[in-house]
Amino acid sequence: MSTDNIIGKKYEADYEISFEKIKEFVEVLGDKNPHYTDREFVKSIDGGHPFAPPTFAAIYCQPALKNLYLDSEFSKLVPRLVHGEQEYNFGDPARAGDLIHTTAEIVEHFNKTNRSGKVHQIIEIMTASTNQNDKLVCTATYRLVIRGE
Amino acid sequence: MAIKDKSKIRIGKYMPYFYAGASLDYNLIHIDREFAKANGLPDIILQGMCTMGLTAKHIIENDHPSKMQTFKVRFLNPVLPGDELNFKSEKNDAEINVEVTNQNGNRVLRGQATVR
Repeated sequence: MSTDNIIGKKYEADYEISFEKIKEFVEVLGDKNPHYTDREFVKSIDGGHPFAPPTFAAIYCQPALKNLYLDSEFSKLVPRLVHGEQEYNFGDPARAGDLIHTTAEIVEHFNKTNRSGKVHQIIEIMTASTNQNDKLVCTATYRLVIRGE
Repeated sequence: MAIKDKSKIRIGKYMPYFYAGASLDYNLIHIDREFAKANGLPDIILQGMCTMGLTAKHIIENDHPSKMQTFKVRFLNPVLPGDELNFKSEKNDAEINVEVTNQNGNRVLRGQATVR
């Protein structure tokens, strides 16, 4: 099966950050940082809305990635996909009420043989997310491993 | 240099399901045991992003989240429900190196963050 044509595939989507989703997310992680959950505390800092934790980026990038996962070529690889590496560079903080626009593009796709001789495929996806003021909130690199049979 | 070596977290049986709901990551290797095993995994595995989120919590604690400027990790071994994770980090100026190991002493994540 040739998937050489997946490099350059690009998808985009919007995500609106809600305070309720932030609270749900940090509750699962057991994260009690008041910057995420205490509306009055955050208002007293700068008058704004509560912050999203850095790895909430996984959520606001998700709709764009989902479009990629549904792609007819890429979707064939998903069952054997595991997450290998993840990198984030943060800009403006993401906050409740923000409307985040994310583009996700496949930038690398190559084979790699591991120590036991299995051939895995490596796929790199880069995302860029901006907020409603066109400020860069986050860029990310997802390095995914498609495990060999 | 400051070393932080105190947080230990047990990954509950239902954690992959809770994290799937909270994060929208419904990849079947995290929620369907038969599917995970049929695709060569020992069991359902925890979302790597969940381990990364727990590691970010270990680094930021109750500080302002904007303190974290960059954060990159490598996922070294799968995390399974029931695992007990140990978080250990070492801070040198603005750079933090972090490592997460399981109850068997195997490293599951290694990462670097820059903070302000």
